[in-house]
Amino acid sequence: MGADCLISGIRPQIAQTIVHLGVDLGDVTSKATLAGAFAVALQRTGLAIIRSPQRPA
Amino acid sequence: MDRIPILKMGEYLLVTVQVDMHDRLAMTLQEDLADRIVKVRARAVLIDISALEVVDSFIGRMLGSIAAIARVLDAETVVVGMRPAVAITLVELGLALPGVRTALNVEKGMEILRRSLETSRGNGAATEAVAQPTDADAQG
Repeated sequence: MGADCLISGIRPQIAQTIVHLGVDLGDVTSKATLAGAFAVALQRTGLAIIRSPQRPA
Repeated sequence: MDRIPILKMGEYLLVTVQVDMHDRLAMTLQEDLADRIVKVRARAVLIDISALEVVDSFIGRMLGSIAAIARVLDAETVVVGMRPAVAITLVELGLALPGVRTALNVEKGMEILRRSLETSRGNGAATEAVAQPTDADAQG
């Protein structure tokens, strides 16, 4: 439906199972961490998180 | 039970197969490597098979699945130092190892990994900017 899917935080055992089952994750981006996946998501949507110049005291 | 050592070098994991690779050893290596990639947050795996004189279909398939597992875990894999006889055997077995990157020696393998990590970092440049705005400014 026009949405990209990212997977993060796959455990070693799960990764082995995915490969042994022959699941094709070719079109699915997998990242090691949630932070990494979030960064990719921001980049794909053209968004960025920036620090405001006026920082609360 | 003997294992093939996995060395960590920064974001890279280095595996040098020095002994004859039997099936059990290959399976252990696959499990150990999957665990280590997650444990140390490795981005790249370099497997040196220059000491391997014989590769059967099982070991060939294992190399392919190690690379696939590493990809699922967000790490690149390059297999280096494959002997000509091994390459011929693999192709004759119908295991051309699609999806596994190869290089002639460790030096070239490291170069491939370094380049591909740089490219992926370029794509994730937004993250760096978020984390450290001053660094991004200094580069620009």
